[in-house]
Amino acid sequence: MENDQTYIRNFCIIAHIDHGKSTLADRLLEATGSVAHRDMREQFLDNMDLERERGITIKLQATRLLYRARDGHEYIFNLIDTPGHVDFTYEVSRSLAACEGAVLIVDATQGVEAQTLANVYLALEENLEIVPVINKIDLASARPEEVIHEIEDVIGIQADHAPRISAKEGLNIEAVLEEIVAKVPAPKGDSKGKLKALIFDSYYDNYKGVVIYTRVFDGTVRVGDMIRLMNTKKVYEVTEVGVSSPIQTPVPCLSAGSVGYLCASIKQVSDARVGDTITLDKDPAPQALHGYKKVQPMVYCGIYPAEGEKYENVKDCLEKLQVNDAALLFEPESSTALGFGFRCGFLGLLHMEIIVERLEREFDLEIITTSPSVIYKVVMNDGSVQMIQNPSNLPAPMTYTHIEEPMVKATIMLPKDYVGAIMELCQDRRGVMEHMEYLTETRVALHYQMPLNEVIYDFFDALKSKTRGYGSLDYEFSHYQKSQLVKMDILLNREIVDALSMIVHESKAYQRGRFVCEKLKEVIPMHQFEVPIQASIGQKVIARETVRAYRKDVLAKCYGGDISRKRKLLEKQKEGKKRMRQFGSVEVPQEAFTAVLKYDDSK
Amino acid sequence: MTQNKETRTVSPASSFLRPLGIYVHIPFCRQKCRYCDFVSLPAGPEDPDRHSAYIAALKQELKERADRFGDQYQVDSVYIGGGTPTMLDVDRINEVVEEIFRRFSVVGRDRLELTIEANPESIDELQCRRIRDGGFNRVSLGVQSLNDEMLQNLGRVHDARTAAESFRRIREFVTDNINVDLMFGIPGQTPAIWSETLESALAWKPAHLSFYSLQLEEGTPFYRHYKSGELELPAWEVNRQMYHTAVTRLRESGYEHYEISSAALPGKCCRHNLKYWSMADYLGLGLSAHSCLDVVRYENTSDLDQYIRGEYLKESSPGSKEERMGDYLFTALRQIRGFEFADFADRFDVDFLSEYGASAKELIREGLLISDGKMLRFSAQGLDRTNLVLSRLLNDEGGTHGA
Repeated sequence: MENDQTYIRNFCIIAHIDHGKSTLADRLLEATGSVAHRDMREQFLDNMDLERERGITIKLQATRLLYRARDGHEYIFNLIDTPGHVDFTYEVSRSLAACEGAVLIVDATQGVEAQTLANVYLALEENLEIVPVINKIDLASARPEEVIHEIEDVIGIQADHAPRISAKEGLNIEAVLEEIVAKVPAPKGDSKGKLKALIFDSYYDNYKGVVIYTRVFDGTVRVGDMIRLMNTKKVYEVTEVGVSSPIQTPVPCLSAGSVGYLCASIKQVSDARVGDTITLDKDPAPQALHGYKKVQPMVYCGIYPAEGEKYENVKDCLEKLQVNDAALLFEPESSTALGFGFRCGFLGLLHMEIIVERLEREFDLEIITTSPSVIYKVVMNDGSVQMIQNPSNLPAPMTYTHIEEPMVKATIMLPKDYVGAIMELCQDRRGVMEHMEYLTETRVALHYQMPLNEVIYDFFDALKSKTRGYGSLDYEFSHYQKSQLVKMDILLNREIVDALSMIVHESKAYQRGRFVCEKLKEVIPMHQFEVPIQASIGQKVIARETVRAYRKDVLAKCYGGDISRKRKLLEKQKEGKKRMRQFGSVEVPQEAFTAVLKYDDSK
Repeated sequence: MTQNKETRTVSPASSFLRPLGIYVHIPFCRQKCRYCDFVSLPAGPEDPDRHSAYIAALKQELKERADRFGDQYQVDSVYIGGGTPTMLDVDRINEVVEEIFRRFSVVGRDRLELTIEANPESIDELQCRRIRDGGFNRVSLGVQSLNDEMLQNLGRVHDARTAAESFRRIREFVTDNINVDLMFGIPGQTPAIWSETLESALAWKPAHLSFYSLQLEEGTPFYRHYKSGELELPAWEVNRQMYHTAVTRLRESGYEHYEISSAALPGKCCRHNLKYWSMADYLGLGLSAHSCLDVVRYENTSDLDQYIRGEYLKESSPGSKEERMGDYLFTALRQIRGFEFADFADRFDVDFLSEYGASAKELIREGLLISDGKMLRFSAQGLDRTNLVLSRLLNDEGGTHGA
């Protein structure tokens, strides 16, 4: 049966964040007996703490389920879980490429969201069969009929037979399994052909080396085979192949149509790039699979070791993260203020936050991140073009004719009550509305052209805050556009702190300058002398605050023998201590770098 | 009363017992003062359960420490500080003191210094009797100011009259071995207001007087208000003038200025505090208390629930020799007489001048330190810049101790 592709179904689940994707995946595992009920942890597939906490899936997982259908046959289901957030379009595309069908979950209370649409379009691009499912019908506010119409109107697929389920309550789960059998096509590869297998995920294991999750399209791969990775052109001997059900179980081989994992003593994580094609070294396929799309990071920021942290540690950890995340790019850079560090590229702001959080929590690193930036196109006087993603590298104003910035097409879906507030927000962020459409009587889609640099700066937080969490956002790169951009520097005690420089639109400079100065004044402690904080464009100061002086020349009361208190005081005078950075003679707490980026509701 | 031999068998080696000071922290206050960043918890007298749980935990910690260290030491000073120890029924504190007698070898009552901190608002006649019954022979009274406006500015709950009355009451019912705590550099304070407070306090003829500059600590309301410009302090020069006025007037009145912020009538120096300044051994009990035993430093947790659960210790560290030398210098130099190079060499087997000579000489040349070739102390000018001087002495390059 193992080799009979007729009974294999490879599918993924796509949904907007919070629509119940992970919960349905758990129910499928449970209903097929893959995980005993007592072993169920909530949301089995989301196995990183961070995912569990944020309720989102970041890392892909593939699981094999066995299902005896009503037709009497036993089917192998390969469920490939996908992330559901705006930043992870690329990861979604990798898992889609490994499937023949996609279960589309739509929340019966919320209807079609921006991300639902974006993911459906990606799935249609890969020619996947879409299996719609209406979830959360147990809720009092569920309106399945309306949502079915919404799916048919907005997406344009048949949905009248869509199973109406409650993943949370385990209601109607079998109907989903039967739909998958009936609708998702079986794979049609040639198991005798030349090996072609797609890497759609990988991670580093301390014992096995790099573990690759793969979908075999043609041919067969066995333990002992010499394989070649077609992009990196490196050759390895396969040491283990297997399936996750969901515990990893070795099998003799993986052949066309199968999904499983593969180990080949790959030591360098960067050698097993996600999206690459595996083939046999002695009998290679003529060309690689087309599924691989080289990702273009849209957001950049600097990541620096904090006081007392080693540069090498940061480098190692970034490398480790990169194996699971082909979208993460980094290269060394240096800053006058922060020393040696890395310029890192991310898919978006959430992606950036997740990486930073993982560095801090999983790897226990102390790091400083600088203001996020997009890639600006600087057209020089001689006609040449420079791509700038670090504000400090912006050439002198007299040397270029103009700057262009990346624009995105942004789609915002929201209840109509918030349209006024969000249009105001978009206008404030230099957005230009293209059109607005009513999806239903109460739900609206707004289509905007917006500068990416406005989107990455707290736009998502503002949207969530102003729509009480009901607004959703999706965006994609559109084009570069000439814009009146200037570099704003921040000076502490009259010295530029390069890590705080940012590129802003001329019309927003005063507002941002004032905001940054005020925030810095809040977080910088008093010194023996006055500390002026200035925002400037070139030589012109556009905002100024002052941290007043406080002379602390004598020792405090010696309290209950607490010498450490005074020892700390003296050490503080010696040099910048942990969590503090010394700029000239000014001590800046590390929180200052994030404080200037946070969305402020009071604005 | 003699040494408590009934419950503790003193071994033949008792002649080798080293002296020990015990500090007991009572972290409760009626309300938090606006300049305070010490570990204290606003808790009313209506919170007896928490108080009882804390006292029980203190006794337990005391027992554990005594089991571990008791046979090496003989206690010659006990200091009950806070917080506001007199917030509690002092009988509860007396239970802890009795426990000390039960668990440790203690010197004779005539040689024991037994101090309790008291705040004017919580020291009525009944509390005074309890203090006396507990055997206390020294009281430190948190007067801070004798000007009602200044007391209000500080956020203190008592007024000048209450302070004067409580001082008289302690003298009448407990002891005349009283320390008066005063504070200068208070918002709105002029040199005249300070002098008035100082003279009124001197007229009481307390055995001991402490005078501290108000300091802004991060995290306190005062710090925030000053930073935002809502609060003003006397200018730095005025603050220093107030300090030197106090030093001069105390000396003229027969007090010995023996530590940066302390002066005493002859023979009335605080023996317990001197331990902190001479690297003698002390054991701190209670929330956030610190200990220094046989050159190892211990710090207790600052989390009350954790403490009550019996997880007393937060961390301990013997520190490097370099750290210990630094500790010695910035505690020993608090004493106005300074320290002797010979003592330094005895303790650390290091010649002070070859280790710190370069920076010390420069500080002497600048008139901030004074030396006669055998000892080192602050000059009057240096006393205005203690942080700077110590920071340079300990950290300046040039010594072999490195950065």
